[in-house]
Amino acid sequence: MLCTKCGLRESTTEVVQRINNHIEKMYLCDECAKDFRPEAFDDFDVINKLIKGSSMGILSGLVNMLDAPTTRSLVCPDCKTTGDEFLKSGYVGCPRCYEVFEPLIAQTVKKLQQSDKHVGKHPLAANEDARGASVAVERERLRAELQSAIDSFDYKRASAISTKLDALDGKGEA
Amino acid sequence: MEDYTIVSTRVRLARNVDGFPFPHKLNEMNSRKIADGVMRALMPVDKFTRYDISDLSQLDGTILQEKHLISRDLLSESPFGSVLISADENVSVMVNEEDHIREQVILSGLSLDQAYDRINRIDDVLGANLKFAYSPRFGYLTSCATNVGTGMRASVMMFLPALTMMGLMDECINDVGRLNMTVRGVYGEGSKADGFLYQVSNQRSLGLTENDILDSVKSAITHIVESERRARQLLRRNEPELKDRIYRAYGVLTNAYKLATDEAMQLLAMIRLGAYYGYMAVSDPSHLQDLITNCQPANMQRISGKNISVDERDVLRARYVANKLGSIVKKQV
Ligand SMILES: [Zn+2]
Ligand SMILES: [Zn+2]
Repeated sequence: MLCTKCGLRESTTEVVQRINNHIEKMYLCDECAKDFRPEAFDDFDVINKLIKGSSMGILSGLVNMLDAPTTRSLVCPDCKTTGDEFLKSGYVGCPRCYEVFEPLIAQTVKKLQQSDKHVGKHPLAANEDARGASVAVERERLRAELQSAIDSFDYKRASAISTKLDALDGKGEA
Repeated sequence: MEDYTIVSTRVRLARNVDGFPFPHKLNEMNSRKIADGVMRALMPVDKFTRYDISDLSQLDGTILQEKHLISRDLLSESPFGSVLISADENVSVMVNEEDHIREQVILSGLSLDQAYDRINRIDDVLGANLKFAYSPRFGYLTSCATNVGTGMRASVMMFLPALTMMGLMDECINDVGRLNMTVRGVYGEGSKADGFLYQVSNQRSLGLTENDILDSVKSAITHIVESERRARQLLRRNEPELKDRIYRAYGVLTNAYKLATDEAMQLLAMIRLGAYYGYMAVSDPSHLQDLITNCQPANMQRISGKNISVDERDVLRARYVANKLGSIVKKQV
C-alpha cells in the first residue's frame, strides 16, 4: 500500500499511535518514516475516527433495531443516503437526512451526547439585534422544545416550557 | 503569572450551508461556490488569504498543517477543500473538510472566552451571509451526526512534563474523561519526542450551551494545572538531577552540529520546564512555541529557502536553534 503521508512511495513502516483509548494506524515509506514524529492531530474528532475505522458500523450497537426497522431502509430523497449507510458510517449526506432519519439519529446522539436536544446558539440570533426579533426566535425555539417534550411524553418539562412561553407573551404571573 | 503549563487555546465551530450535500457528496462546482461565498462574507471583516488545496504544493500544505492552521484531513482527504487564513494567522476557516465550514480561532495562553468571542463574531457574519443548515432539535447540522448541536470544540494545548515523567498521565486522562473531556498528545502520545504537549477538549457538543462547554473545559484545565503543579513540586525534590537535565538540554541546543526534529522537541521541552523553575530566563514564552513550530520539517524547509535533504535540514536546525535560543533564553546561574 502507498505511504499514507506522501502518497508517493510504497510504505514500509507501520506506525501505531494511541489517542485516548483508540488506536490510529499510519503506513509510511522510508523517506517519511525518517522524518516521522507523530503528527499534530489537531482538531479531529475522536468519535468520528472511531466510527470511520470500524467496518462493522459502530453506531448499530447504539440503536435499538426493533424501534427503527423501517427507518433503516429509508432513503433520503435529496442525497440518496440510506438509514443503513448512516448506521455503518456515522455520516449523513445532507441536511435533509436529519429529517428523514430523525428517530435513528436521535437515538444515536442521545447515547453519545447524553442529550438529543440543542440548547445553544441559533443562526437567526446573528441577524436580529432588535429585542422583538429575538423574542420571536426564542418563542420559535420554545415551541419546538415543547413539541419534543410532548413527543417524548415528558409532561413535567412540557408544562415548564409552556409557562416560559406564556411569560414570553406577557401572560401568566411573570 | 506565567506558569508554563498552558500553551494556547483554540475554539472551532462546525457549520454547513443549507441546500447543499455535505462535502463527501459535494461536487467540485458546488464546493467552489461555498468557498466563494465564505470568502465574500469574510472580506469586510478582515484581510483573509485563500488557499485551495488543489493549488497548494505538498510542502506549502504541510507548512500550514505544522502551524495548526489546517488539519491533516483537509490536506489529504479533501480534494475540493480550501482554507481562508486571517492576516494575523489567529483565524482560519477551513472549507469543505468534513463539514462545509470549520471556523477556528487560535490564541496563545488560556483565552477561552476571548477565542469564543472572536469566532462567534465571525460566525455571526457568516451566518448573516449564508443560510446555515440548522434544526431546532439538533442545532447546527454536521456531516457526522456526532458533532451536531453547537458544532463547537474548545481545546487547550497544555505542557505537562511532570505528570508525564512521573507516569501520572493515564490517571489524569481518566479524571478528565469523567468530565467528558478528551486528552490526546499533540505530537503523538506517550513518545518522549512529543515535547509533553497535550490537547484537552470537550467531547459533548449537544445539550449544552456554548458557555456550558467553555465552563466545563475551564474546570478540567484548572484540575490539570493543579495536578501538574503538584507533580512539578515533587520533581524538584531531586533538584541536582533536575537542574542537570535542564542545563544539559541547554548545552546541547546551543552547541550541537546536527539536530533532528524529535530531539529538538524533547530538549526545548526541558528549556520550557527550566523557565518554570527559574533556571532559564525566557523573554517571551510564545517565542519558544514559535521556535517549536519552525523546527518542524516543512517549516525548516521553508526557512532554508531551498530543497534540502534530511541531513542538511538537521544541520540547519541546529544552527537555527542555537542562534534563536541565544536571543530568547538566558541561562540563570
Ligand atoms: Zn512517504
Ligand atoms: Zn440526505
